[in-house]
Amino acid sequence: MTATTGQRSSRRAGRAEQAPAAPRAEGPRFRAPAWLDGPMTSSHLVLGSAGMLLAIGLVMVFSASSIEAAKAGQPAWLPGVRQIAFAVIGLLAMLVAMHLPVGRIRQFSGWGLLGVAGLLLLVLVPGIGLKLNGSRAWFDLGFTNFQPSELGKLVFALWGAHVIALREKYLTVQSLLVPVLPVFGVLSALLLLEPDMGAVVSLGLVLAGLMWAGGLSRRYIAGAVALAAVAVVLMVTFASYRMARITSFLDPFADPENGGYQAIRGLYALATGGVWGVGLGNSAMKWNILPHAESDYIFAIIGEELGFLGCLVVVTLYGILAWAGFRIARRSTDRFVQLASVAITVWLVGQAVINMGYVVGLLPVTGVTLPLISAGGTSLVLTLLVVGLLVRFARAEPAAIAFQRGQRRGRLTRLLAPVPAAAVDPVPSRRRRETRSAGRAGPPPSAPRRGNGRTVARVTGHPPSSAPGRGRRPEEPAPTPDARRGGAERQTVDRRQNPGDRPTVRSRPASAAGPALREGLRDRPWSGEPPAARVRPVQRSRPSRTERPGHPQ
Amino acid sequence: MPPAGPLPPNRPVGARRTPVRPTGPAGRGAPLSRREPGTRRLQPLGLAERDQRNRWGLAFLITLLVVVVGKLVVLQGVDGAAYAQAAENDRMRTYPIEAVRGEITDRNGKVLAYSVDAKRVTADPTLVSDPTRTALALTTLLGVPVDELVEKLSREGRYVVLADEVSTDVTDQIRELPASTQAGLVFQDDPVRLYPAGAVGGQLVGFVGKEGNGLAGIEQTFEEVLAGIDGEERIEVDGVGNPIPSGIDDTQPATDGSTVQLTLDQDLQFVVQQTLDAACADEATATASAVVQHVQTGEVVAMASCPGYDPGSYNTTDPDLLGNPVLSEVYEPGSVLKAVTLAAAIEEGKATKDTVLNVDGHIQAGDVVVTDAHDHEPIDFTVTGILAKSSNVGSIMLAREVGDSTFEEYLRRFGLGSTTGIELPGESAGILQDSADWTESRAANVPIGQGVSVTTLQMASAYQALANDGVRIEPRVVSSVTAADGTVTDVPQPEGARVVSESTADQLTYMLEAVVGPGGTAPLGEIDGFRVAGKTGTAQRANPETGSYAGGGYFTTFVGYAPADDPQYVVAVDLERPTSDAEGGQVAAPVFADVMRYALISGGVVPSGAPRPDFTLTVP
Repeated sequence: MTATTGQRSSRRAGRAEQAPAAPRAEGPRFRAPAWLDGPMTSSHLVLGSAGMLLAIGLVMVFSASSIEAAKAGQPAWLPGVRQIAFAVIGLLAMLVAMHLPVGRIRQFSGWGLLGVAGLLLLVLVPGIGLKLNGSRAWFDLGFTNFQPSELGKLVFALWGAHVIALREKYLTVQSLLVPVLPVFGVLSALLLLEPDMGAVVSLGLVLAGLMWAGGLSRRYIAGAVALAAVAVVLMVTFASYRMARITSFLDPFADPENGGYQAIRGLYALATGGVWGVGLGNSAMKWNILPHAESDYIFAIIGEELGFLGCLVVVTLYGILAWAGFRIARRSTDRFVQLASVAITVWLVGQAVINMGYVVGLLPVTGVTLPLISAGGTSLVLTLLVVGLLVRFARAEPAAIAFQRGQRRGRLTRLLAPVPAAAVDPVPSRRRRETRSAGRAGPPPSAPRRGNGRTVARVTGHPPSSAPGRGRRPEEPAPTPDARRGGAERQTVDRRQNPGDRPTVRSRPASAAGPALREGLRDRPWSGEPPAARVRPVQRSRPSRTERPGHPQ
Repeated sequence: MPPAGPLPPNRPVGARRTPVRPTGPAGRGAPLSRREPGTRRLQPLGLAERDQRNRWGLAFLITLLVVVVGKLVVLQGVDGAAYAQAAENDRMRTYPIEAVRGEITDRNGKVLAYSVDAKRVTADPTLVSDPTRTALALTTLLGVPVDELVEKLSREGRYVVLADEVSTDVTDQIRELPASTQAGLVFQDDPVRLYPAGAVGGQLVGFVGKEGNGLAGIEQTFEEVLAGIDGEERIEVDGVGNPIPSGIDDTQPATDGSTVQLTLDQDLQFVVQQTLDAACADEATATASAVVQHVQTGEVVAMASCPGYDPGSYNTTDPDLLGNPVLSEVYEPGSVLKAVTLAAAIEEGKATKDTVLNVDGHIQAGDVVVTDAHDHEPIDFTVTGILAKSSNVGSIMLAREVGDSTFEEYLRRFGLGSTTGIELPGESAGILQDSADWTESRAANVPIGQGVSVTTLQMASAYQALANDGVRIEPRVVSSVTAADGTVTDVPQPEGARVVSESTADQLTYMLEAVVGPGGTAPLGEIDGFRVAGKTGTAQRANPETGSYAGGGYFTTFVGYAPADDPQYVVAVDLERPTSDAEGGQVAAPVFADVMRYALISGGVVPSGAPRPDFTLTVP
């Protein structure tokens, strides 16, 4: 019996076991069919849906932009080829993201936040920031324009997930809101100074994802929604151009020449497409009629050329991306990954919903682009980077790690499909910093063991070293749903972790990485390489399943 | 079932941690400690709670996507047709396609009038980025001063005309200007009507007004045929008005105008006008008109009067000259009408060409006495002599033989008093009173061509009947119409109507030949090699200032045809000479001879084989 079939049978057994318990769980429960419930499903779905969206986007950007480029005296292929070039850069970024150690991401997310805030400040300086379409939101990099707000959303999502994950076990309403919400406020303020309402909305989506996944109670969420509504009303009343946008959204035909022009042309484009579309390349609206046909309003061109069916494919792909994102959150053991993947998913899909919403006339027009499809250099690169992170998270699902370790892995496979070191990554910097500060300030002797960060400072009285004792308590809730599955699938590394992230000992597999690994890592605190590979070099080229510890033989 | 087990004791877990809490936020310990332990603590998210939140979050996002899909169904399915129609209407533009106006050619296909493509250069000032630069670029091309262009390009509004009838060469040059310079310029069709023959045939061809419709001559009467049917370009356009190549194209092509072929001979027309212009150059002659008609068909081969005009520059011509006096101006024909009088007498059997009459030098007619040109003692004239010597008294005597009403009937059969129906505007019917209303003096005046008014064309037409063995065919000037697709439609030629018998016509031809012969009134009408039949006329001209004949001068006329033995052409000439008393045989006959000579030679007419007979004019 190979390890793989052993896993499958144990999983099947787990499901069979679970079936009677299902009615007890609240909320909607859509169980995927068996063929869609493999260990690598999340990663494949993210890669598949994002890849298809990217492909559709490249084709449609080419189609939508060529006419205007040709009419403007440029080569007709120029915008399309530029988009392809950015897609290639984005795919490289995605590959890098797939190799990124989560721990490092968390370590530098705070600095990243500071950097982004600095960039957002810098972009407001008239000589440095580039003003386009009435908002000073770009840096001119020469070959393209860079929008720091895009980077801001990503960094905010990662940093927010990190901070909330740090405090998971000791989360109060205050500690959930305090660092994240003020930072959101500051970033929003900077974005509003540009002004870039669309970026604020996207950032709000990230915040919403974090708060929802972080566990903010529904009362607060309801209150926040009410507050946001009031804020929108206030902003609309104080900024006339937003007021115009709102009114033109409610009735675009009231002002067909100015405010409603774009919205009407968008509706016209969609209606012209009908069910089957007019055919790829046959759009009439892209002939300088629909403004921003290749970016903000590309969904209208998709609807015109590919019809309702094309739109349905795009919407479905976003739906699949959403499902995969939440699947990652559900199956992952790392609290940071759970939070970050929900935040990222809500951000990407939410942005898509907002874009498609205003194109079809359900929402006021904001400059929110359609992720992975709209033309735009840095935005595409960053979105692909984010997709790479999601893939990275997906591949760190314990089941995925276990499955991948059972695969033959060549050099190219390791490059293109790296196996994360562990389902739960520690934050390496904390200890180093802790050690440094210990040297300076003379910390209590227990400090290194107790770990790190503000959260830990609050729980000094709590004995984390007594973790094994905790694990014995039967009432301790399992941190991930995988606890319900066979123990063999749970892949965690017993290394120093944030208390909030750390799975209980009980849920930790007895032998996932093995004691040998622990030894190896003690020497080298961090490495991007899969630890198992380093410990047993022979497995790099020809992993011997029988020798792998922790598998039932 | 280990996972399900831990769920219920969630609260106890929180409670268990309570003692740990106060030590957490050390700086803020005091306010926290007053609270009931655990009240500010969030419920730790248990597995089920996280699962549930993930599910609800996913469900929420999916719901939003489904809402988008729902709206798409409405847009692309339910309401799709209406919006799509609105979108299409929004993109459709309609531009007129002007039909190219047809040509007018002479009988040999030489073009007298045609249209060329040209543009009206207009501008939308709101789209012109830099009026000064655009104006500087256009000023030499359009020939319009810079100041004027700058002023027009800076105007409020969205339409200014910069120049009319700009040739396509120039518009091509404008299109090669930089895009920023020519932004806002629009070219509209503004075809130019050209008249390559200039004034030759100008009065007949007419001209086209500013709006493109014919205002005179053939251009006016054949307006519908020449204009064609304008088309309409209905195309789908992009944001700046350029057609979308793959878009809808409901263009209705224009049907170009037909070509109208005239019976006119441009060369002969040129000679006629040259000759008339030469005649007009003589100070005594105010106006002169001439018509050349083909005998067998009645076709007008040339028709002119001086002063004429060039249709290409009609707008700089005195409007009084923009007519066709040949068929709109009437005059008293004078002696030329005596041929009709004698034809009536012969046809009625009252005389033959050899009948001898004793003609006095004068005759009492009511309250006036009509004399011959020079009063004389009674002479025995043959009827031929009466015509050759143009005896008023003899003509009146013969007309009295015929009787007023019969004579009037003959006049009308020869075409007097009614329009000929030629395809030209402004034709006059002339003036011919009913014989019942004739006074005795009028009854004596009409046979000698006074008290009756005719047009030059009517006079030519009357002689055409005599030349054509007594069959009169109404004059026509259009031979065929060729549609743009090449279909040729012949214009139906009028049926001939017999006016007098063939023998009467022969006798008249014989007698009219005597006019040009020795002892006749118009030896100057002779043409070498051809026998000419014709008649002079010198009619008193009513003085427009006094309303009487006194001081009015004369209309001198000559109408004739040749060759007398086989007539081919009829030529009618009349000169209005208000200040001269020269006779038709002296001034009109040479003009006639010049025109007829060219007509015969260019028409390839065989010279007369037999010599002119000897005429007996008087009986001793």
